[in-house]
Amino acid sequence: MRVCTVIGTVVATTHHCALGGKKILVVDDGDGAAGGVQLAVDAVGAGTGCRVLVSDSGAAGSDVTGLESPPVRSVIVGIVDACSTDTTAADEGLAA
Amino acid sequence: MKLARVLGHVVLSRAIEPYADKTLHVIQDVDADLQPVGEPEVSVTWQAMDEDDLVVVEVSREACNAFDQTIPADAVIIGRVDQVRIEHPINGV
Repeated sequence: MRVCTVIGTVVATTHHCALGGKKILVVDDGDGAAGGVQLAVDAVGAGTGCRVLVSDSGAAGSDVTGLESPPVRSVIVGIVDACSTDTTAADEGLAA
Repeated sequence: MKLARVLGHVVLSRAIEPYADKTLHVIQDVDADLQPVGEPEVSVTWQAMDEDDLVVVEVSREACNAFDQTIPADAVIIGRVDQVRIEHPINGV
């Protein structure tokens, strides 16, 4: 799972049934290695600027779409209030 | 999932059965400015797209779940994008 920042939204009115009624958000994990725009399906009501937890698992896709085997892998499963990587650098290590 | 632009299509003269009647597109990733990045690649699609369409692509093993019959694909187009709004540039650039 990755801690990402929501940086935008995507509207796709023509879509696979697995995306029906779902919000697609643009997320940035701070890696930037690929350079392309990364997307995730929102399951928690996140908005632009939110720090979120993104799960890249088929199970999360099943949970958010209600389908047994959806073609969806990246799902925003939580909004991050704070995270710390050790006791001295609270809330800094995973900042996007 | 990622955002990509449709560059064209691919026609197979012979293929394994799951690919029968499937549409394949050549796509290329786009960056936050919707400019092409990386190398073009081939993706199966759940519905035929037009050239230059901006699309949502699932690139993972879950791509095989896009059809009633499982298909051995690692990339599938699952949406045609109408609007993109990116308010915070990637990596703070």
